[in-house]
Amino acid sequence: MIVKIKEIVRYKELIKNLVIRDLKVKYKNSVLGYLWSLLDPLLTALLFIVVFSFIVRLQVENYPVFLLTALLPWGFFQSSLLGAVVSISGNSNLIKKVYFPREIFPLSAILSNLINFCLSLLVFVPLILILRVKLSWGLLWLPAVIMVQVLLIGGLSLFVAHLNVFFNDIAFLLKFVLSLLFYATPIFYPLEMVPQRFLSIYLLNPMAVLVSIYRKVIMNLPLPPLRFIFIAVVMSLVIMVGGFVFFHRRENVMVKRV
Amino acid sequence: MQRAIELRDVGIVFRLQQEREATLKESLFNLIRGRYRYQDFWALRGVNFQVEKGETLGIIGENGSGKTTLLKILAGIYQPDEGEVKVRGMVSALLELGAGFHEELTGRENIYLNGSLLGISREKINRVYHQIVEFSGLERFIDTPLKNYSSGMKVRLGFAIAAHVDCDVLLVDEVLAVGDESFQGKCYEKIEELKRKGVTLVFVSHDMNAVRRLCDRVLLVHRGRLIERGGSREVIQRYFLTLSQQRGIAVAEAKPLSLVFHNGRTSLYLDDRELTRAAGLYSSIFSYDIWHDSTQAIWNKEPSPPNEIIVRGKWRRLPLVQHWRLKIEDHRTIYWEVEMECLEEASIKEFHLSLLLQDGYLEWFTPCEEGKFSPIDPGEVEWIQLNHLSKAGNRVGVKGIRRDSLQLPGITMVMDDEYKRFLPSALNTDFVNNSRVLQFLQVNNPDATIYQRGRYPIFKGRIIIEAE
Repeated sequence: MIVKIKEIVRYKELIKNLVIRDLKVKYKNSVLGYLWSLLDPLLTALLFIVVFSFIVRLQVENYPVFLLTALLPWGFFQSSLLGAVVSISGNSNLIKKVYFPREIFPLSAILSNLINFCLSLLVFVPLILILRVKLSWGLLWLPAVIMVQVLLIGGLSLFVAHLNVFFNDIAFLLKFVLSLLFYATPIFYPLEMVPQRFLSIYLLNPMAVLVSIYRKVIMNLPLPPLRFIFIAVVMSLVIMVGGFVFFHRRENVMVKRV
Repeated sequence: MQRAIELRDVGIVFRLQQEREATLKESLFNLIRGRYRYQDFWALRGVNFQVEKGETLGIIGENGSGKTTLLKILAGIYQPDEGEVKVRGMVSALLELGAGFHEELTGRENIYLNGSLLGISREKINRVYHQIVEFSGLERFIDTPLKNYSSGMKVRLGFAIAAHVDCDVLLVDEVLAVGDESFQGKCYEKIEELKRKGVTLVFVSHDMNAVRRLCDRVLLVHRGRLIERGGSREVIQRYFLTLSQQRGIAVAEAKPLSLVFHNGRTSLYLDDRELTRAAGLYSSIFSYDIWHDSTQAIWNKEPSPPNEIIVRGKWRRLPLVQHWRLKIEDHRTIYWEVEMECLEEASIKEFHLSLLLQDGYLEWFTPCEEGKFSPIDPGEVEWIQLNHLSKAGNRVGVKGIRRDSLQLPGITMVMDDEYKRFLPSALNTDFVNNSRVLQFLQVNNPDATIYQRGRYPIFKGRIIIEAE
């Protein structure tokens, strides 16, 4: 594994190029360019605000910030996985003709989304100023949460990217699972609304835990119980290592099939 | 010295499915039924070879024989399922043009992208960037998106990048066939330069001239196995022999002579040395104001003893079939028989049966004449008749050459006496074919050119190679 990581590091230039290529292609021919990475979640948030503040009337303080603290990490999670799932099968041409560590494809899909995510976090600056959200020292934990989320996404990406080479259904299945998970994550509703007796199952979804942590560090809302945080972190680590080992073991079969 | 490449008992297996199980549903379905519809296919098996540092190795073989798979194993794209591969040093590969290019990005951006695909840092690319651009000759287009490039331009850029990155082993697959001739020449020059620098080269090609020119050693791959290795000359000859199992190709052999028939053209070898040039032994027909020759016909091989070739060729634009029988009768005589079958009535004005020989031959003779072949001027587009057709006979030949630098046996073409209407002739070709020609030709009377349906004997004769 360490050898493989070293090899990946040797190809850092490629990762950089692929990420830049991803971003460039993404915003080519669009007038607003990078602004879309901000506009996209804002518009979605606006939609939810209309629905849940005026129609359903959820009673949540600072609902726009509340929503965005979950929507942005969720967007990162979702678009990374959707990018990664086709990253191997969609690049079959390259994979069959040039050698380099194939992990690079899902990895660069995640990295370009990470950059997008970090940029989109900037929308918080004006919002926090306008809505006078009280920040806490907890904010310093933000990079750590992002790290854990990257591990989770990374491991899952390696699994789905690999499997999609064999079954094109994986991409469709993933879309469905993601929309299911969207509702099983406290994004547009607070964690408190989840009935107590389901909570111990509900919090086994690492994204639910991660979103709650994001809310803690940005809005200083209460954390879920520590043991669930622990489980989520361990789960992310295990998924990452498992995905890596799985991907590596099956790499040769995959390349022949792609 | 350490070897650059070592392969020990390498094999790779692919799972061929009758139908690709592209969806989960199908594969679950198959799983439940407890059967997988696949076959194991060994694309390569038992492959052993080594390449010394700085050596140039050619890999030849038919399509689908496993050459490209072998190259992909060397490039690290595939891991072998059995055996061991060692490639020492930095590898640069040009497996397919345009692999790793991105259409939306400019030429300049693609150079960096491609470099990074090879694991090369930006600084290193910076150092050779100008050489790459200069070599590709694309200075004016370097900031144009690649989607506006022609395929030839992409070829240039691809080769320029692969050849300029600092590598120890360069793998090149077939790509040089694309691109115009002057750029090809430039590529070969670059390859020679890399050879001098001590770069190890592995070169897959169908272009036997390129293989002969560039490679120190050649491997012949046939159905996933290495069936021959050695100097380029012997291996290429063996390659043509394996090709002979294919349609339209036939071989006759009786030492020291061998004949290779290839879709209407026949090459003649003496002690593995080719005496013929260009189309070699072939026939042509002048009909309805157009020349039709045997190289345009569709040929099929018929069963024959090892010293014989029996083939039939259907002319593409004429309703006729020619049957050829070529037999090596003894160590110096080849018998050639041509029959024609008209499927419908046809008008034929002339028959030519020609043998194109090396331009090393200097003197020709017929029974009552002899003369010297004039040199063929560069730019000469006509074939030049050298003897007088009025002073005919039953034979025409070239005199042997016996000098230290060049040894060529005398060759005579003799026809059987029953075919009196044929005239022997000696000619020079145009400068492209650049050959000496021994020929028998028959010009039909203007009022007797119609052949009814049926089978006609056309020619019987012998090619006699002068004994030492």
